[in-house]
Amino acid sequence: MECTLSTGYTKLFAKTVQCLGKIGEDMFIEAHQDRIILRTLNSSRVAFFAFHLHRGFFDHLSLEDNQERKFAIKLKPCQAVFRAYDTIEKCILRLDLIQERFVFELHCKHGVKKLYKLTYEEIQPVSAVYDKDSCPNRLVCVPRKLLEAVSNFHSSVEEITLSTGKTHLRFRSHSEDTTAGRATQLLRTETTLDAADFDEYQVGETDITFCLKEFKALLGFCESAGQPVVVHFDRAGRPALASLTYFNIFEADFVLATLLDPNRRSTPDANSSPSSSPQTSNTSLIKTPHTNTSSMPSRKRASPDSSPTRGPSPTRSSPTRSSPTRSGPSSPSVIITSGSGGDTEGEDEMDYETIPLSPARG
Amino acid sequence: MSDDDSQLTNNNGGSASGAGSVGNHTTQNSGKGDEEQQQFQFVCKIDNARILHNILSALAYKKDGQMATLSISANGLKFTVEESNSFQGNAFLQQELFQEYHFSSKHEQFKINFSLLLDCLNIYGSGASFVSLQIGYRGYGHPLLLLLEQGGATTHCGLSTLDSEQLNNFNFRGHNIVNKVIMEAPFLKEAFDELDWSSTNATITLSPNDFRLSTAGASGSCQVDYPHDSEVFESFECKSHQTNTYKLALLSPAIKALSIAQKTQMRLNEIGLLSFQHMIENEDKNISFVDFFVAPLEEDMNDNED
Repeated sequence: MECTLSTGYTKLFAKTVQCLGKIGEDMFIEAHQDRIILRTLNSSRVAFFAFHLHRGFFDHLSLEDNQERKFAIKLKPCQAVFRAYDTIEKCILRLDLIQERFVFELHCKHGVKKLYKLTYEEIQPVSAVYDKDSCPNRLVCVPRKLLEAVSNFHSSVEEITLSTGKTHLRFRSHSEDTTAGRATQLLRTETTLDAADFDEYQVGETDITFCLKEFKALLGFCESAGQPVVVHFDRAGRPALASLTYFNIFEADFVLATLLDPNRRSTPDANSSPSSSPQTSNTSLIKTPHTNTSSMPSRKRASPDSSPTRGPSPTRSSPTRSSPTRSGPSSPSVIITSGSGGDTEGEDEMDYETIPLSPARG
Repeated sequence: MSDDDSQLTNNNGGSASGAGSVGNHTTQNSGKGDEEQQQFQFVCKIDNARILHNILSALAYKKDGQMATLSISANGLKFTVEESNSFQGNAFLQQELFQEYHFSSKHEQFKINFSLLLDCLNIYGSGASFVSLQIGYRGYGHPLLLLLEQGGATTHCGLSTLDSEQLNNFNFRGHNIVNKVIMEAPFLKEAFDELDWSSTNATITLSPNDFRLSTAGASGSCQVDYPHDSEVFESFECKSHQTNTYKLALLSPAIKALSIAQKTQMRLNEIGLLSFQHMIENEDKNISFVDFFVAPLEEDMNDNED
C-alpha cells in the first residue's frame, strides 16, 4: 500500500491524526482501492471515531496486488510525525511489507526530508455499524457554536448532559450520583443554545449524557475542517453520532456512547461483568462482547517469525448487520465493533452501555 | 547557601566550603585582620541580572543540586558543567557584559551550587526587570556574594564555594575538525524536536551531502535529513562522512540552549567528539556564547569513517 496525500489536504490529515490521538491509543488503518479508513476507539470504549478518506483526498493511492490491508499503528508516535504539519510539502504513506514498518515520508520546507518507520500490527480493525437515518433527532450547525457552548465547562467535568426541547437545547454538567459514593460536584455549569442558532433543528425532548473530552475533540476537529457538523441522537442509552463531510472526499463519523440512565448508574469502579446478566433490549448498544467471541477476529503480530497470513480472515466477511440481533430485538442504531476480543471487556467502565462486537464492515 | 537577606559580611566563614579550604582561608587572612576589612578580590556589576540568568539557564539541566565550576579571569567569568566525563558545557560571560569588572588576582576557580545561583538570580521572579546585580568574592575559602536590587529592595545571597576538581579537557582542537555546519538555531531545534526522545541514543551523520539525525526505539525509527544545499544552513563545510551515536541524555542538555540561541555551530572532530556552540544575543544586544562537548559512544569511535 502506498499513497501520497494531496498537498492541500496535509493539514486536514494532520488534524485527523491529532483528533484520533486525543481519543485512542491505536489507529486502525484499512486500505481499500478507493479509500483509506482510519479508526480509533477509546480505552473505555465509549467513543469511536472513523474517518473515510476517498481517492480524491490523495494524489496517488495504490495497493500491492490489489490486496486490501488492515493494520493498526500506535497513535502517539503518529502525532509526533504531524506536529509540525505546516512545514510539510509532500507526505507519502507506505506500508513496507519487507521491513514490516509503516512509513511516513515527509518532504518539508528547505529540502528537509523526514522519515518515520513505525511498527504495525496486522489486526482486524474495530468498527462501528451505524445508521444515522434511524436517529429521530438531528441537529446541524457550525461547530463553533457548540464549541463555544462546551468550552464553558471546566476541564474536570467528565460528562455533560444534553437536554433538548422544542425551542432550545441545554448543556449541563452531569452530576455524580451520591449513591456512587462520590461527592456531588461543587460546580455545576449550564449553558443554553437557542434553536435559531442551528442550521437545522429537528429534535424532540430528550436527555442524553456523554463524555465531554471526546465531544470537545470532535468539535475541535470539525472547527478546523471548517464544515458544519451534523449531530444525530436518539435517547439515553443509544449512542450519539456526529458527522462531517468534506467535499465528498472526506467523511468523518464520531460515535459517543450515552449513559443509559443517569439516575441508575452504577459506580465507576464496579466492574460489572457482562456475563452476569444478559443485556436487556433497552441497553442495546451496549457491551455484550462475550456473546461475540466466536466471531472475534484473531490478532496477528507482524513479526518476522510468525509469518502472518495477510489474506482475508474467515471472520472478515461475516455480515455486520447480524450484530444487532445479538443485542436484542430493538436493534440499536449503532454498534461498535471491536477486533480486540472479548477479553478486554473487564476494562470497560460500566458508566456506559457497551457495545456488541462485530467485525469491521467493508 | 541561603538566598535570604543576611548581610554580606556575616556570611563568609560559616558557609565556606570544605574543611581544607577553611583552614587555608584563615591563614590567608591572618595578616589582614578583620574579615570585613578584607578587600574583594573580585567585584563585578551588571544592570540587568536577567541577562546573566538567561545565559546561565542554558547550562541548567537538573532541577536542583546541579554543581558548576566557576572560573574567574581578567577576561570574564566561565561557568562549566560536566557529566560523566562525556559531557561538558561552558558559558562565557565576557567582562564587556558587565558595567564594572575588577579582578585583582590572576585566576580563581571554585565550585558552586549552580541551581541555587540560578534561583538567586531569579529571586525577583522572571518578570522582574531592572534587577541590578553585584557579585563579590574575597578569595579562596570565601563565599561568592551576590547583591541583587530592584526598586530599593535588596537581597544578599552568599553561596559557599567548594574546591574545584580538575576539569576535563576535551581537547577538541587536538584532532582535525572535519565537519562544521552553522545553522539558525530554530531549524536545528526543529530537527531535534522530531526525534523520539524515548530512545536512548541518537545518531548524527554529517557528510559532504547531508546532515542526518536519527533515532530508533521500540515503536519505530525516525530520521531527519537536511541536504547540504538547504537554506537552513548558513554554512556547510563537511569534508568526510561521519556517523556517530550519542546518548540522548547527554545531547538533550547540550541542545537546550537552542530555544534561546540565534545561531548554532555544530562541529565534529575526527574522533567523533561533537561540539555545539550556541550564539546568544542578550537583551542589550551583546553576544554571548555557550558551548558544549559531547563524546560519542565507544563502539562508534572506530568505525566513524565508513
